[in-house]
Amino acid sequence: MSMMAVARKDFRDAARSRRLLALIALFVLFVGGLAYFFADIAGTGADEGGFALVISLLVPTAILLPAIGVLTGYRAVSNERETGSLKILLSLPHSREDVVFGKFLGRSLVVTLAIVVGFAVGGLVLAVLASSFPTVEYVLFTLLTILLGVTFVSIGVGLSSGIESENLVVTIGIGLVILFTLLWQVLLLAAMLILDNFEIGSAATQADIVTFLAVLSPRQAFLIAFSAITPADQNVNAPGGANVDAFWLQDWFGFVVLAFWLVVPLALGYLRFRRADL
Amino acid sequence: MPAIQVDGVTKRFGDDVTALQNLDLTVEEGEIYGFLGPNGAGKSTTINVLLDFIRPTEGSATVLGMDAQTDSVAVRQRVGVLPDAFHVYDRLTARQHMEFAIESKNADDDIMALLERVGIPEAADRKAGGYSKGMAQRLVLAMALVGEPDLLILDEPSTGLDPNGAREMRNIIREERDRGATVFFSSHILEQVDAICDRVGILRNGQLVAEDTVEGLRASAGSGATLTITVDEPTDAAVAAARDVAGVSDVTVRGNSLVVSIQDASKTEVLTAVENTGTDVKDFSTEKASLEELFAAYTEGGRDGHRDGVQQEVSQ
Repeated sequence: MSMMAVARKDFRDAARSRRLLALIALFVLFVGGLAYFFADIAGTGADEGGFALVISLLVPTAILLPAIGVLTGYRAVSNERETGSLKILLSLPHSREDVVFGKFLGRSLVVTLAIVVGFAVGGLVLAVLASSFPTVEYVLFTLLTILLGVTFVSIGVGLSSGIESENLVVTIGIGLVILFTLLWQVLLLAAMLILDNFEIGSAATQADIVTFLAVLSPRQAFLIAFSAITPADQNVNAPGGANVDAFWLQDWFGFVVLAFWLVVPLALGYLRFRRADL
Repeated sequence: MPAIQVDGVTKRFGDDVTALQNLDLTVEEGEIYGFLGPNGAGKSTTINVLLDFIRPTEGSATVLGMDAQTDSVAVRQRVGVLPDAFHVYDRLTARQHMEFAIESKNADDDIMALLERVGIPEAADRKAGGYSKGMAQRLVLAMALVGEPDLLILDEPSTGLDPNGAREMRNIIREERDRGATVFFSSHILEQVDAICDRVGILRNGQLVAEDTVEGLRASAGSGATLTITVDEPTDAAVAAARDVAGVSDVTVRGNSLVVSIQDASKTEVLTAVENTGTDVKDFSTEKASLEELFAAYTEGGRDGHRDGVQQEVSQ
């Protein structure tokens, strides 16, 4: 199948360029290092067991993944378009659909492999150092992390497909990384201040608006979705008065938001790419 | 069924750039068709329409009987392409490029045989990032040959090749035609076209201004030949006599020679006329108008102007 041929080639290219190796090394250091830090140095594991350690990995992961995912995907199509290798690719019997989704699959596999290896090493560290190791939850957490990583790859590849100018792609890509790691929180704060300042709605309504806006970010959606794995209450840090029973603070809504970010940017990018003159 | 059929294709970029204007073009199965024109005439735009890299503003095109837009993947399954302004994958070797082309086309070609055919077997395991333009051109030609395509579409195939490489390219084009493939290639250089094309189309400003065999074009353009007569003394009388012969368009004196531009006069008549003035003809030679001059006649002369005697109806 043609899409798989494109995906395989893209994955092999990543392996050849050592991009894959660099990403695996990064995840091994990151997850392994964090696991070691929390289990041994911070000493969390001794008292609370392995699950607390898994939770301590959660936020750093949510911060790292947008950059990894977007930056892995965002030049997938635009770079080939800019250099002219896309003409070789499309001279062969591949459709534009094959190119966009094949690239998405190839890059997703790169990120997935890096996450799996990194989390395997991290799991090993935890299993050795912590008093207990929650295998099932850890595997589910790894799967959820893969979902988040692939979601950001989708955003990156969608951007790469939808916009012709590589400079613009790079600028927007870096902007998106900043948005998802930092800016979204700043904007939430701004929203909170504005709502408060102009006394829009009751305190409870304001809190609801802010938690809703927070959950729309893939990173927060990931944290919400994580509560599906754990019996512990891992809801967002709801501002005082927020309705924790609101539907957007339930774990399933986290998956809905992630699904949106997984599908929509890539679909939009593909639709633009399909119509484009190359 | 023609190999390529372009029907009334117009392509505008933005509001003011018209790359193709109502272009009709037919390439018959099994022929070598040279698609000529100066840079910017619209040759690559035409090829890009055939490959569905760009979409026509108006009109449509079929390749091997299939719609170039809706059936593009099926088209490219049976077509070998050497695109313009391509870039090879720097990190992949020639062998890996070939493997990808073979995998993509579900073919089973012998990679080394193809690389030998295009003359770069020694580069099989070298990364393409270090290739010269000519080597990259040969590599992509080898990829185009994968799967014995029914049609080869080659955009400026001799770009980056030395004269020897260009000759090898022509040989491959001929071999492919003899195998039964149709070859459609574009060029802005004419000297190589003469020898191999069954038919030639000349594109200018997005329109086909001429289409014929090379001989046919030469005849209808009336480019004729140049007769150079070496005499003892090029007198005014001799010049006048030569000029008076019907079918002579121009006579100039160069040293001891009369240079006579002939449209369709017989050179014997000119020689006789010159000798009749008492001039002693020591030697003479004729040269057919070069294709370069012919091409210039079709494509120069102002952006929108047409030279007298050059503009002609497109014949199918």
